[in-house]
Amino acid sequence: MTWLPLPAGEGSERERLLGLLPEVARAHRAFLEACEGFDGGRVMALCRARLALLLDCREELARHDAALLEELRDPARSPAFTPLERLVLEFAEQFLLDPARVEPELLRELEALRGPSYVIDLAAALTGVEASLRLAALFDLEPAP
Amino acid sequence: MSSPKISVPPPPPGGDAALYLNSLTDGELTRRYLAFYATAQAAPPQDPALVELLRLRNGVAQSCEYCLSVRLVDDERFDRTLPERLLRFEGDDGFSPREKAALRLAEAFLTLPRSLSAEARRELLAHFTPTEIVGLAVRLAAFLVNKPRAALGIDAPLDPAGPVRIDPAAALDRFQREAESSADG
Repeated sequence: MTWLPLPAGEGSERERLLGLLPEVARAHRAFLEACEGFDGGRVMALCRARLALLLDCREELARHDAALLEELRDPARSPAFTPLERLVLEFAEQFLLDPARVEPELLRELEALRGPSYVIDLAAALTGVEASLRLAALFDLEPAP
Repeated sequence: MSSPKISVPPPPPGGDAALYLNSLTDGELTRRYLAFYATAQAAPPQDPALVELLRLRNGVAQSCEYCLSVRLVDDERFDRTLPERLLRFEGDDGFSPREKAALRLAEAFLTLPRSLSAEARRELLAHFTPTEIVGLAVRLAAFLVNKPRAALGIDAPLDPAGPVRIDPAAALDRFQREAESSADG
């Protein structure tokens, strides 16, 4: 249960918390949906799960099955992911920890596979996903029922 | 001076790195982000100096040269030394207890968000309503847009000579117009 006093009501803790600022909630949802849908959604779902592990975000972790989370504990060694997915997951981790220190070599490898526009849009999409996870972890939101 | 880590030209000399990166980004993502940013900035508390502290704290966290090169409010405290002071705000008498409570929220959000202590939560609730706390948090979320700039090396300062004062409403309007014209084009 979140530590922030929220008005009683229907809906998940996320809905009730962001419901304190309804216009922000609508705009945030629209932005987040665009981010989560990047490149068909699969790669961003993997990033969400990986970043949730790093941030200990229980709201997001509850959305993923245990087997996937286990593979994501060390994605570089897992055969469950494609070469592109492994690169994206490595980028997502470096991006979360310290964006200024993202390795140029990693960016070159991503560019070689999908081009610079893909890398730019991936970074923008990761921003929205990471921001949402940080909000959820900050307030320790319960998983949606 | 930062330079792009990907194979795109650097921003034009004297250009605005944030506008430049937006112009390279998917227009729908940019428009939706700017809509979120605008609503977040309109949320309570309406305290420009406090919000500027959070924006600059985030600039420090991401090592974003662009963020640290602009100032959105006039305040004599907001000189070149401020970023360094924000890292040691707890012992700095130049920050009020209310500002320190908000800076603790920022510190947790930007590092390990679940690390906000029970004491820090109590202090926050002593200075802000729950709606205001969410208002501060969504601003922090919106400020993370500097991460792509820092990650891709497209974060050149607006003016290497020192911080530049810009009007936040005019800047947001310009960003939104550029995004719309980019989408139309």
